[in-house]
Amino acid sequence: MGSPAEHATVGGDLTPAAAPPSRAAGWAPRLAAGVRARGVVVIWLALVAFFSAWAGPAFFTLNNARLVADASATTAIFGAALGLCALAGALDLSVPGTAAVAGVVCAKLLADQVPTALAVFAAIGVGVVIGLVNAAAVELGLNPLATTIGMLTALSGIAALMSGNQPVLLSAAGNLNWLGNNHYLTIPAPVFVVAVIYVLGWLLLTKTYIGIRLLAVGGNADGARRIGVRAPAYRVLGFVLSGACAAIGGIVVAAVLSQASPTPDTNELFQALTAVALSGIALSGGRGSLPRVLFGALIIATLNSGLIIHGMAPAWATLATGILLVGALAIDQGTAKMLGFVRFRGTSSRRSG
Amino acid sequence: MLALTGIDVHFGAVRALSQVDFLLNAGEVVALVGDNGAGKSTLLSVMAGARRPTGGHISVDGTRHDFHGPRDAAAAGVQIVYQDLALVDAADIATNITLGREPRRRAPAGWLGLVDKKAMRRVAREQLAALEVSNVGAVTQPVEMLSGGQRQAVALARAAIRLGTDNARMLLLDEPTAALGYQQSRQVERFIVRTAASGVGVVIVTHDLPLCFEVANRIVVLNRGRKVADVERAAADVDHVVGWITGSREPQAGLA
Amino acid sequence: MTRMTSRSHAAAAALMLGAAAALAACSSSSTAGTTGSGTVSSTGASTQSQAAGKTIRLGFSPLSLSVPGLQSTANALKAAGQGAGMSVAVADPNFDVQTQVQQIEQWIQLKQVDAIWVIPIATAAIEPVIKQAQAAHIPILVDAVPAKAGYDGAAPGVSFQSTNFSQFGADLGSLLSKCVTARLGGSAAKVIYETDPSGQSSDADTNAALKAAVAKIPGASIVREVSVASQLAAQQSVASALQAVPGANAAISTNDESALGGMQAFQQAGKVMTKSCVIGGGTDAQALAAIKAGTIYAGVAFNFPQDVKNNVGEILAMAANPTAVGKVMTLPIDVIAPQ
Repeated sequence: MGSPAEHATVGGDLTPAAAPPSRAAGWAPRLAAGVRARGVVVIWLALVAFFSAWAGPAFFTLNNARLVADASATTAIFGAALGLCALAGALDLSVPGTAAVAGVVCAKLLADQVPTALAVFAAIGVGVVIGLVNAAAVELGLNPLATTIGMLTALSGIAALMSGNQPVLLSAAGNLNWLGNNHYLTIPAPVFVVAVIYVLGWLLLTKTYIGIRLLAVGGNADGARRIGVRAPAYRVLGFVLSGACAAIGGIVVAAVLSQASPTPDTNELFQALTAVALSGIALSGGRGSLPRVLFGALIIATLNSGLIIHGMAPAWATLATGILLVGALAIDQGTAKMLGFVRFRGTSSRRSG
Repeated sequence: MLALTGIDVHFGAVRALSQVDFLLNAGEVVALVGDNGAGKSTLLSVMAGARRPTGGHISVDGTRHDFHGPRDAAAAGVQIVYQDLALVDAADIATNITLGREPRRRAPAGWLGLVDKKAMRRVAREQLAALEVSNVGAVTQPVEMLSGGQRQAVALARAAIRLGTDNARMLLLDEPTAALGYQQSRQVERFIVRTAASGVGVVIVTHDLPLCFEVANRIVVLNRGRKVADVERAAADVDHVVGWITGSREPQAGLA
Repeated sequence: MTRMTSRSHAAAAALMLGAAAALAACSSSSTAGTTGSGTVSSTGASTQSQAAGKTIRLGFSPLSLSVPGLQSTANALKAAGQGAGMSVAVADPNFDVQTQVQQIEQWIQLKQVDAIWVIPIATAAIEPVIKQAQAAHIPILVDAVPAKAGYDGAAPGVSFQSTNFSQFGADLGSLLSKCVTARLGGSAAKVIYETDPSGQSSDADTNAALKAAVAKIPGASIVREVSVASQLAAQQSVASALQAVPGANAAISTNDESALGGMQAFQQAGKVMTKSCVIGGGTDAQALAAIKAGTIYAGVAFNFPQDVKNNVGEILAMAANPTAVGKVMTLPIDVIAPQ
């Protein structure tokens, strides 16, 4: 017990690169470890530095910081929706449909002069219900990917029916400027919404037993179930959270545009998926950090801003965005490999029948 | 304490278990042995509530129970450590050990579900120390970075927590030493003996005959889904046990 | 995969049934026969047949009903059809070429329509469909330039309506010229040009004509070109462009959403709208309101309502005489002048 021989055995069982970095050859692995742990943040800072030099003086200004924060807000909200559900083990692609329906519901209620708070809560409630329907379908055994894509189509039809397939305008009386276009302490309102969602999400996932179990179910649903955690309940929670966040996103977009469009914004979905991918949340579930999705969203918005400010023609800008995103993912993978961080599963070479 | 009577498990035409009776008493260690495909893990799953038998019934302390799922079995006092350990790889040691029984902060933060991370880490360290595991390092490491033996220790610790509390009086271990080296196997042995000594009934499914003869009070042999022997360890002969496992020896009198 | 207990199974099924019931109850107050994507439906059966004879069934296949202007056209068409002894079936191919082809082929092969009006997503893909319609003696009106569909001009039972995108672009340019005089006091126009990323051939014509027109305005230049897929993207991209070129005083868009997004970006940047030239849009309600208020200087819009009238007339004429050679028409373009 605690003998040097035992230590040697233990050390020999671990993959060599997982040994403490101070024993390793030098600063490179330590740097890689640092980058790996905070990959998205480092990449974002690198982008900021790059564009500050290359895109011109207009980039690195307070005003532009506000614009980038504002532009990343909607991506961040939808990214939170996707990320929370992914952490619980399912990919919810119906998010833009939920956003469209929630936006239309909120706008129509406001047009009927329902008090603002009530309209907003009702719309979020719609998101929760959609999440429950998604969860019910998945618990009945349907494949989550196919189910949520089907729901997306259904929801776009519902939004079209509810609105006559025309955008629902927000009037001056029933407006959402406080949510969309106003600034508080010079910070755009949507940024506050993002802050609230991410702080609550982070607290839930890291500090409560609910979050711990949600991650466990996402990581190893069968294992969690076998030790008595109610896996279905936490998967349902994942869908409910994504439905609610998607609804909030839809309401914020309606606030920003002063109208609710019934057409699901698949472009936003793609950006949100990219933000989630950049954050390292495994789409297979159970591992990853929610705050990193925020940096993923910032990366996308920073890219767009930098390329426009520099003046790159749109077609080239699209190509550059794609290349930079692949590059970011490659850096993430590269540092992972450099640390030899292969997921080490406890092996059981002999198994009984 | 735990009595299984006439357990059948059929998958279509395949008979994984046929008319198997099994008894477990408090403080007893029963080794469940047999060749591959004999049905050992299936029987364990039935005891843990993870699989419903197609025939037969289960009683705990004389009361009939119908386990609809693992939670029912846990409520009746059964804890199980699976061969694949059922750990959450991305989560750290402390989280895995306390999963399902996370210590909460005092009210009012506790009402919101906030956990006491310090307590989680302390409990984890205590459990690992009780298992004589001292070389794991920080309990904040993700379990996927641990060796097979260390992961086994974490899985055992997770079960051990519940043995002290809430009525858990039966522990099932599926191949507890399969992935372990010599030193670690001896640690697990001592854990089994200690646990039984505290009044818990332990069932171990294993290929490791020396382990059986070291710790078991009774040895039950399965062959192709049927119980072929149920002997006191003191009265058992290694060759006889091997013969029952391979089928070269006739089943005991009174058994199929 | 876990299997649910029968109790929670039942709960899940009940939830889904409840949701479906709520759906059915909520989906009221919709325009009759609005369809989701990829479906074909027959709607608005004409209650009064003309004295001349049976009801004519028209199939209308636009690019996508998600474009508010085209949704309005579909609605107007149904309304016009009711008074004219025509029932209208609307298909929504949702910008997918193959879906559009399949939907129209189904109409022809199953004889579900007596006439067709198609706004092709890809004109070349529609060519075989036009021939099928001719063979089946179903008159067809195609929104395309005849040459791109493989025809020299109109043909028996085939009419064309082309959209003069070059004119569209030139009109946008001339509005800029007017605005420079009216609002910028003749000073140099620094233009943010918002383009459509979908890359259709029409965009090339529009872009070329617009840039040629801008080049003719003394001192005018396009300082940033941004590709915007939605109103939100337009707002964010134009805001970024303004960050780069704070002195930009004009934005030109080819559709309502990007015009509104650009306008909002200008407003948020604190620009004085009466001294800015935001140009574009003019089809949907919000854009028209903005033009009236002056926050958008002016717009150029395809006059779909007039177009519908023209087309209904042409379709009835063709249906009365299916073998007669059709016409080549142009989609009316309106300049929504400043108020």
